[in-house]
Amino acid sequence: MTRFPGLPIGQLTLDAQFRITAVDEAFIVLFEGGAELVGQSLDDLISERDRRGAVALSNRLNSFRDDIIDLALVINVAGIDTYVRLRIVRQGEEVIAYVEPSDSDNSLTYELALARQRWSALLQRSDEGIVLLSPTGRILQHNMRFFELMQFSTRHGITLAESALEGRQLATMLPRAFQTLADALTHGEDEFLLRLEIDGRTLEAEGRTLRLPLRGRIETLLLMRDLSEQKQIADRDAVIQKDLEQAAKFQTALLDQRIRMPGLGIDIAYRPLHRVGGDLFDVTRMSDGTVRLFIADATGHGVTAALSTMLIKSEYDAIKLDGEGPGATLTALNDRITRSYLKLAVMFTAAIVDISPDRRTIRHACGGHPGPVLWHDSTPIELAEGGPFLGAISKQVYPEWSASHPQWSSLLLLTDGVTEARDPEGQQFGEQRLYASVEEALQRGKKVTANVLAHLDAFTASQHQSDDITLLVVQPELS
Amino acid sequence: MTLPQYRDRDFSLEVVEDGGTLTSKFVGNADMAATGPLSELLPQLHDKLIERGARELAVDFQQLEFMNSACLKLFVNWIVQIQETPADQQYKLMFRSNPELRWQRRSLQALACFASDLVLVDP
Repeated sequence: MTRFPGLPIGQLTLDAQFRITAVDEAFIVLFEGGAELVGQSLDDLISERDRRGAVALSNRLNSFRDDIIDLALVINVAGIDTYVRLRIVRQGEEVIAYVEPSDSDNSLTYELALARQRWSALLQRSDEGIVLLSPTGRILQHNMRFFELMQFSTRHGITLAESALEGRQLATMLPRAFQTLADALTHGEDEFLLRLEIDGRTLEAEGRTLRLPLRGRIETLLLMRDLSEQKQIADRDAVIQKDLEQAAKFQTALLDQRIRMPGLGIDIAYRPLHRVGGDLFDVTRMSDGTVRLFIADATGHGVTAALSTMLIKSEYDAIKLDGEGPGATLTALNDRITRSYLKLAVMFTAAIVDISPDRRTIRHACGGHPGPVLWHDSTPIELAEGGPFLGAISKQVYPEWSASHPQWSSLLLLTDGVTEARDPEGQQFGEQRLYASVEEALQRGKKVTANVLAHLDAFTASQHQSDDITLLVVQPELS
Repeated sequence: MTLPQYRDRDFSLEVVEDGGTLTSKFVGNADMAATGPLSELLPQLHDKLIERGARELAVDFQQLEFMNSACLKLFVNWIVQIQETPADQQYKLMFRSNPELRWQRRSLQALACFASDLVLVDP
């Protein structure tokens, strides 16, 4: 016989010492057992895994009069643990315990237990100080961060222990500097946001009243933030940003894009992933009139890669006019970097292209870098590429190629950030799109780098740039 | 003996043994997120190969769409590590590349230049 038809509630009858005297049929069906509980104490029903529940039940039973005990805890019946809502009431001489399994998602008790877990996790891990106050302003619950921020002490300057906070009237514990907060709490303001200054620190206090239907004000939630810490972080960020801007200026000065060479049009686009980048280029006129192009791509991005470019540029500048060909110059550069900076692991790819004084012969060498692309009329010709990475192992040989190209109209050097840029579907921009955008610019008389970047931006859409991008385009000027 | 394995959303490395031949299969995009795992896995793989007395490892890049320069740098370190191993314990790396991916041709050639006797690229 069940007392609550259709509801999953079992019933235990207890005597004045809370020993089980009867177990109803609904209980036995719900928990697949329980007849053997008769004669046992209610305490014995609580699972060994739920010590907190056992303590809570024991405390409530000790002070039980004519009220209702309403707890969520884990019981063990026939060797199986079940999370239940347990309600205990007096009915004449008897005590009745209503037991309701609550371990499914649609149980209100289950949701309550989950919400408690979430609140507890949030409370303990929050970077903000959190305290819950009773309607009379007493501390109900707080986290460690609140205790750290408030630095409570007695009038005699003795620091209070964290355990001493619970149950105390917060407004009476606040220092004089926090009078506005004490006033807001005393006057029971529903919402407030205050800025408090104490001992060189700036704290922000945000209060909010928590209400329940019919009951009205239940608690006050007070959040405390240390704005001075945030300000310190903001100040430090500002210094880093300023340093980065300065570094970007240095790099811009190092990588001057406004280069002029007699008889050649030079068009350069440099777009680092961050404020500074790991790409590097240089255009030099040799004593015999040869124009030497250099492009490099250091491993990584950002400041580390940018510092690598400084080293590479410095070492390259020291040898670029030595009169050696592109291959031998890369060998010398690799040896200098590995000899001086091997521990820094400055690995990079690079290419050098020499354009003869009469602009008809192209001589080049690469080290793990995309080869130059030459346009004859509107046809792109990919020149040879090969050779090892630079900066990793000394005494490397870089193959060199030389060929006569009397009719070339454009020469393109780039870093792989151009061709390996991706669209939202993950497709790479690739060589074919690159060449098409170069050809379009050449046919329409547009600036090549600007046209490529416009196509690249349209292709990648909202995708964030994922690598440094450098394009170096050289065109013989018609005399 | 457990062989190194790794899998995340964009990149995976699987080392399998098939008829006495060890193959390390790299799949997906080895970008910045793969640098950390690879920096641990490649030295582990080297140790396992030495332990087994392996003479060769197939490195399958056929389904590897992209590898950034920081990851490639780890392969350079790996090659250096093999070179520094006593000659009788050294093993070869046989890269199987995807000829449709241009970066592979360029980067694997650049790696092979360091040790043409230890690093082979097919095709």
